Amino acid sequence: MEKNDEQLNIAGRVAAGFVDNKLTVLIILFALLMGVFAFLMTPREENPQIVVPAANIMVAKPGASPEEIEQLVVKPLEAILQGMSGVEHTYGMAMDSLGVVSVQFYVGEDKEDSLVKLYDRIMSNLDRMPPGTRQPLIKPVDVDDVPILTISLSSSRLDDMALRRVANDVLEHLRRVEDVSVSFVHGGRRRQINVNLDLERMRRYNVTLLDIQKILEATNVDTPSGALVNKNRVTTVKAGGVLGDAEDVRRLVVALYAHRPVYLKDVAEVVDGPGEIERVHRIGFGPAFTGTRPEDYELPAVTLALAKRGGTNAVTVAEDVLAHLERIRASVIPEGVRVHVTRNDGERARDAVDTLMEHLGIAIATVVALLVLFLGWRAAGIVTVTIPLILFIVLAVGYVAGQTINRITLFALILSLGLLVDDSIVVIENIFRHYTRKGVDRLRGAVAAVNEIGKPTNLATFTVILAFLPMAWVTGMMGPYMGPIPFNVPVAMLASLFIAYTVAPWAAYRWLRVRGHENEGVEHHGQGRLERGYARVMGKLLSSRLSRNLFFAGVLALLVGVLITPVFDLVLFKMLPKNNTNTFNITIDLPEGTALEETDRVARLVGDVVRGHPQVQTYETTVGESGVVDFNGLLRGSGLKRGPHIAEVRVNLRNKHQRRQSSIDIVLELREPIARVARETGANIKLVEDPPGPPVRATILAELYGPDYEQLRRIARDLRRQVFATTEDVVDIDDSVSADTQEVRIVVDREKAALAGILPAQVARTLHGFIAGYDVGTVHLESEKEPVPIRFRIPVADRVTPAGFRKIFFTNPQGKQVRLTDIATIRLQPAEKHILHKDQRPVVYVTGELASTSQVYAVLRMWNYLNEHPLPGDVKLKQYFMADPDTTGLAVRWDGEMRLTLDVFRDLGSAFAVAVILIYLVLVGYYRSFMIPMIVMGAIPLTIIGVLPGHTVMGQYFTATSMIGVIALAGIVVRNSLLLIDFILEYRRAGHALDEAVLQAGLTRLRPILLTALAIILGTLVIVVDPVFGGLAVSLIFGTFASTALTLFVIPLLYFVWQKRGGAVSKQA
Amino acid sequence: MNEVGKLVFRWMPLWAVLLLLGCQAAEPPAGAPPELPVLARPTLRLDAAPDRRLRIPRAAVVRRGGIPGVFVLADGRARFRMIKPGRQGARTLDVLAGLHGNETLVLGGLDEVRDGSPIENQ
Repeated sequence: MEKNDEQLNIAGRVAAGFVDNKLTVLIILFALLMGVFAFLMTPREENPQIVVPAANIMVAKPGASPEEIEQLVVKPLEAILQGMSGVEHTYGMAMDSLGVVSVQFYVGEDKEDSLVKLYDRIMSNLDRMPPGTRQPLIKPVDVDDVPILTISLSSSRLDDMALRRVANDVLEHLRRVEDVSVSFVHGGRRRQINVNLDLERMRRYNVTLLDIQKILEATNVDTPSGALVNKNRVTTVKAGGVLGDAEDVRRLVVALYAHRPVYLKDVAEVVDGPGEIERVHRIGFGPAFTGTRPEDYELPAVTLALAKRGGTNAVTVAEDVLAHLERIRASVIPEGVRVHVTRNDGERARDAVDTLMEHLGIAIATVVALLVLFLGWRAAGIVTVTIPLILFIVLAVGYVAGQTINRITLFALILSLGLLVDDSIVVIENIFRHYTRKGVDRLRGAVAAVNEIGKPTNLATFTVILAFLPMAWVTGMMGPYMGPIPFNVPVAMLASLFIAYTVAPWAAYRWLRVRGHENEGVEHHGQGRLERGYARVMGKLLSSRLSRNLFFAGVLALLVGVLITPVFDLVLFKMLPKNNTNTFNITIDLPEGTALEETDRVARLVGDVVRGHPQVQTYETTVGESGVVDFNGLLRGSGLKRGPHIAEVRVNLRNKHQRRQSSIDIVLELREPIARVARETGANIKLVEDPPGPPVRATILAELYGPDYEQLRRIARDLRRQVFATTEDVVDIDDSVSADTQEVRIVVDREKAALAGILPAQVARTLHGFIAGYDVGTVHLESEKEPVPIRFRIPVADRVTPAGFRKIFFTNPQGKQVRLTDIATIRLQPAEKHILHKDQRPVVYVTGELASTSQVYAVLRMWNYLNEHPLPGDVKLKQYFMADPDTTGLAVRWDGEMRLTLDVFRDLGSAFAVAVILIYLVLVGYYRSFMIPMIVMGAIPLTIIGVLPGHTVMGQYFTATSMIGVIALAGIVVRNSLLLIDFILEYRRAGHALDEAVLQAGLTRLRPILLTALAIILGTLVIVVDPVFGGLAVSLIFGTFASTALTLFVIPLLYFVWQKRGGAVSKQA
Repeated sequence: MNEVGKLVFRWMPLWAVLLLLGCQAAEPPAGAPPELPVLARPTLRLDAAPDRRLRIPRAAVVRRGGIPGVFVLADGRARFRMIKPGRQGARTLDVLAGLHGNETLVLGGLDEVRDGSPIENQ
């Protein structure tokens, strides 16, 4: 041993240290324990968490028009935020009396830091806000607040107020479960004391709203007034006259009229009960529902929503909550209330992880079967043992690094499976070769064998790592989404290298036997048919210059032919294909100004369509606001929408393992009948599928910029009608221009008001109280879980037409009644529309989705159309993709998934380029030659010959994951050709002639290269059917296939030609 | 490669297909919605001028889960329609929103009527 030590390289030294060491056993045990621990403890989720700090800043300036808000609130706010570091986009929205600016930070910025910075920035610049604006309200948008679990309570007997009360009871229990963070009840009406004012009687008793409000506020108090001390005892004193229930409110004396008290019940009807209906929630049951059905199609429902704390395991939190729900169910939930879990991200995560674990298992089994065939069962057994060890180490490292187990992690593991067996195979195979020599010392033989292949194996492993590493610098949301790949693959490669140098020789030293039948070692195959065929073809190519040139020309022609296939649309590009999911969303927007009841009618029609589909299990309808927000909705900003014209239907399908039809097809089937409902009702109905990757505002998003906002609105309409609607496959078209609505404007005549002794502010406040309603304190009910406000309002029957306002009066300081109509005029006028900003530029959006094809082609068609045809009024739009638009003229920028696609392919393309350069540099360092690395890397373009036709054959889109496959291939194929070249150089050093060395190296490496290729192909075969990662599998399988087949000929021949021409007769390392 | 190997590799596409089929479990049968009994009820065809106030008999109004509504006849079935009630008369009710004025309403005995009950005109 000692005498060898100086000559050993790192690999040899590591092997020498571990080959007969008890430490190796400990390593195995430690890896196993750590792996099992990490496997059980690591939080699981469906997709990697994407951290995008964001916040909405709301500033009210009552009475200001949208234009004023734009100038006085939105623009200054944007200017304040402009200088902040880490801000990627600002979105401004100027509405009537309210300005909202949404700040979106760069992906991956620290959440807390960003928000603190934001607060600091706003608060220290408050003096720049114009006078009259209210205090800004900063609301963070937090991904961790998205509920992972929603539970719907429904009943055919209880009303929505009673249901809400039950829900609050249940929620109080469920909130106590560990790691539950934000939780709330969605839907149902609160209990309140409704004070329905009777204007007629108020006038008769001469009571105004302000009088009542003043008296109520002064009555409904109870304050501790100190304490009395007597006889060594302290007694606290409380004073006041709190209102305990509706009766107290009813009996409140609000005025004196003709020396007699006027009670509140004299001028108003006081009702203890739910408030006016502003939102409606229902649950419906489709044909795939298996439980007992209610007799009604849809039941009133209330939804409990629970989020988990950041960094905790969604699977266990959801399980704990549901287990707790089962325990309390009998005591808390009354008979007849149905409980349905309508969203369970925990189960979704577990399901996704379990499915992929199964796939990983299948992939491992396939690779093991392959190994047994090629290596014999003993060698294969040793390699097989190293697979779980390596995977466990990867999991443990991931756990320590704070990673989660998610779909992408597991795809990364499946992807690296074909690669990580390689190191062990190379080691085992070489040890085997040494052992077949007669009289070799087993211990020394093993070390020498590892030492021999150490350098090329290190190099090959590092080229793979180098290929993947640059992917970590992909920007935008795709970065963290794909993040587990550049993390896990390099870790797996390093772990496999370590295991190959420690555990593999240790196990080989003990168990590898050289015996008769099973020594089908790679080095010891007979000259099989495969080898004979290879030798024949290669011999011909080596000897005949003509056939060689013909072969090169053929490969070149093939490459060129393949590269032009995208031009003929034989390979279609797409960001990411849609995923087969268990749920999708339908958003319903009626024109602004539509009553809740009409929206409800449309929502029921949509429910009828949804209920007709055989794969629908349940659906939840929410009218008047959006449903419980999900990650997609949070980033799209649709979670905040509310108003009587908004509705949403969340459709839950039969579990995807129990149906053949994919959710993509189901949505496609529903599009036509839903579109019919939309046409008949004038509603804008969109079917929103969960995006497979990061969410975008809309798949196609045209941003219109220009100097005149009114003109932009007109252009948006034209663009929508003339371009979007006429482009094939574009559906769910919408724009950001609100509908024309009327508003009633009450203009106080200042002179008349002053003469009558009434202040305009009094008018405004009274009207607000009458129409919108006023909460004046709460009644003090001890057992209620939610506050019970006392709410003043004119009953809905009196709020029908502006004519009803005639009854409203004020009392001036002289005690004289003044009618509203005496001092103000009532006018009907068109309501002003909101103004949107993006990154400080006024913008109008036109959006669209795609039913089934890729958005790339739809956008390109529209782009071409706009280049050739002006819009009505001879409007010519300047078009942009990536650059900031010029707002002095009219411009359109194509954002949405198109932008994301371009960004991702740009980033992945750069990552690929960087990877290629890094690999080249490392190879130059290794071979001390500039030319040999070029030959080695000649294998990379050959992958394309397989990749592009592979996509055509499989009918797959070339997606972001396909691109990742291409990058991975660069590492894989370089490894193959590297070992080829290494052997050629070896044979030449041993004194063989050039053509003999080339041929022999090819023959020797033929089987191992095929084995590696087959391991990769079979390992990834299992993910071909995955809609998202299918592209990766297709790239790997076809790329490996083509590249391997061609590499075996092209690389040795390139070397042969280069050497023959005598170019660079440099000394090879 | 030995005989077993040949067998495995030659039939690789077959194995792949079998694997795919194995992943697709059979769909469980769907639960059929309960058959609701046919109810005989009087109906009323609304025929309101578009600009007039819409007034319906109070007998047509129900509350389900706290939501006021009426049953509108559609394809022989009673379908719940949410309404916004306005001023109440002795026997009538103004509808502020929810109806268009051309619907057919189901009258009387609404307690047994469900959303989706088949209705026979009485």
